[in-house]
Amino acid sequence: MWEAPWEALLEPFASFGFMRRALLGCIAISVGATPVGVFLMLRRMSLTGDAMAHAILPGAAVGYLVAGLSLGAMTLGGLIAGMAVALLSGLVTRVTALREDASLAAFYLISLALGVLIVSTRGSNVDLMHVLFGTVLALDDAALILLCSIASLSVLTLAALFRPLVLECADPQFLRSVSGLSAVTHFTFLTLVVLNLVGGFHALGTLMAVGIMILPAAAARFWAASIGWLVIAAVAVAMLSSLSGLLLSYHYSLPSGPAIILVAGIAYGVSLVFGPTGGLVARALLRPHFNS
Amino acid sequence: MNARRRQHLRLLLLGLMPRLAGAALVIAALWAGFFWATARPGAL
Repeated sequence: MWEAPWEALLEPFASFGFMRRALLGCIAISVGATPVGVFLMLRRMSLTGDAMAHAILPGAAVGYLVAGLSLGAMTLGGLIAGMAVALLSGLVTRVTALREDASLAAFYLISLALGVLIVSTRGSNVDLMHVLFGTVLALDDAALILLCSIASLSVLTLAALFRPLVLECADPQFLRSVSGLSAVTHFTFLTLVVLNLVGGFHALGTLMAVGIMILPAAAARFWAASIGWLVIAAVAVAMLSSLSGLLLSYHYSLPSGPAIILVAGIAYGVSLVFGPTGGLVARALLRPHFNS
Repeated sequence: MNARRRQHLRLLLLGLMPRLAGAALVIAALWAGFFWATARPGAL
């Protein structure tokens, strides 16, 4: 085995460029996508994130058809498809009797089927796996620049719109009544969701990208009570999950994307039981106090 | 009414500068990480 425990931690990143790139890509996704996931969770829109992740698939598939495994074409296609599904499901909700969750579900199921159909009829199974599960160990400079740019834009936008976003989670009617920022905030937030899913899709694939967005946010909910700390805790959980997942995949030859998401899942499970803010143990310890 | 809206807008933007400064630090660290990951020699 290793001479020292820290050697197991540092050696893969010191020796291999692809491991450093994978780590940076995951950290960029953690910094950009996870805070967006926190606001999705607070707005009770966690499943919307999942639906949107599937919705970008046909756009990315059309980009793949036009230009092969081109970063620019697949990103642009994914962005257009994601925004189209978000806007169309909102429009259908406004002009028909269908609720937003049902129209979003309908659009994302159609998108998913269409995307898989396009990729599998024109490409190989390897291409389909690339689109569905990503290639975190094969991130090139262009992909890293894209991920870091999306993360930078997300952090700046969230810093600027933090208070309107928090208010929209707590009391959207109040925000609408006192400020014209409500519509701007909502649309900007949806754009951030789609942007981060498209970025995450290059590293973790359409099926896994939403995992690094929602699981750390759900885990952090059991450790932090204020929204600021919730964001910080979620980003910390996402980064630790990324690091642990990559190391596990390196040392035990596991697929990297699922390993990262499974570690985030374990963090969620541990938080659910031991988290001091509403975790199972904390609630069990509090109960006698309430009973007396 | 306009004065009231301005007051509400000011409340919504409270603490903007410290948050933007924090965001700038995070972004600087991220891009430093980019140069660390891409500039150093290593396999692949």
